[in-house]
Amino acid sequence: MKKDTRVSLKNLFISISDKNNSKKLLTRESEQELAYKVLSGDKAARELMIESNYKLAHSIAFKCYKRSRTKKIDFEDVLQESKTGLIKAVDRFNPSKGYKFSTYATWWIKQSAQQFISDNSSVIKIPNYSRILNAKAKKVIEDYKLNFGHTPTLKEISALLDVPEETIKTSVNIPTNYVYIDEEKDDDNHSGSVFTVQETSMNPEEYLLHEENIKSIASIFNTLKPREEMIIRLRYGIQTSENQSRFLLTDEEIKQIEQK
Amino acid sequence: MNKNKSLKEVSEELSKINIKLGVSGVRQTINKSFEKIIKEYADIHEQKLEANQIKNLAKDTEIQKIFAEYLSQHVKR
Repeated sequence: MKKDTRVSLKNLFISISDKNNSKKLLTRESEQELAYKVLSGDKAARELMIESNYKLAHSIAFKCYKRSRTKKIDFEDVLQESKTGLIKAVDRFNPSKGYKFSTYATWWIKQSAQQFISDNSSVIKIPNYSRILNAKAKKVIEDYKLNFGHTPTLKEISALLDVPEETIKTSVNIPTNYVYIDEEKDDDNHSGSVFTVQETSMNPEEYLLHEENIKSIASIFNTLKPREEMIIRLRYGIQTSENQSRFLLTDEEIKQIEQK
Repeated sequence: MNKNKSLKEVSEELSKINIKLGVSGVRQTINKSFEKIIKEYADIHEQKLEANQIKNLAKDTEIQKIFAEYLSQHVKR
């Protein structure tokens, strides 16, 4: 758990600094002009077109990363992959078709980021077509259950998807949860589906940074007004060792009571 | 960390201690507080953030949870 939060904040600030480094957005006219220059082989225009769209690549990468909820992938890597997708889009964009670049590039960026996540989110490499077929089969099963009230047979799924039965059988049986040999077992919860990161997996430098983060965030919280702090604590269920009653009244309210 | 509460639940909890704050008031207070937190945190880490970036980050519940998670670890010790 500790490592997760540390990585998340690191990722957050990588993303912010990356966003800050990107160039200003292009207008529709300058985008068209640049795109024609790229088509004619202008390298400087290509560079500028890529750099001006980093924000788009960043925002798609962050969304894909957040949606994947994986702990095994670093956001930096997803960002890198989404930038590769952006480069592909810049190289293949045809301005004469009249679409905005962002409309075209979104698909390339998303495809690159999602492909990377799906390739690296599990220890067992599963071909992309199997993964897609698995998702399709699951959707067909769900829809079928809703419409007919029972699970479809393999033959029926095969007919609906127009895929051989044997292929469906393999695809549906793809494991999605893994239990690790070195996994720590929680005596109260034997679900076995959560990969726990051991404390020792942090090196001393990382541990120090993590501790620093905890301290600095706690000190920032102390600068909040008591009422603000109390509301955040209530919202996120954070307990305090101090007396809760100190949050009940604002400084001003205490003064008013004292004056009476 | 204990169970998170919905904005409505927070509002109800507050009314028990005579603080009348509706759901949108709670949301506004939380967002404003996180704006302060993110600004401070960015200053400590020498990150330059624009006002609208801070506003957008503060509204993001995933980011709020990250900071809250850190705070809960601090309190536990």
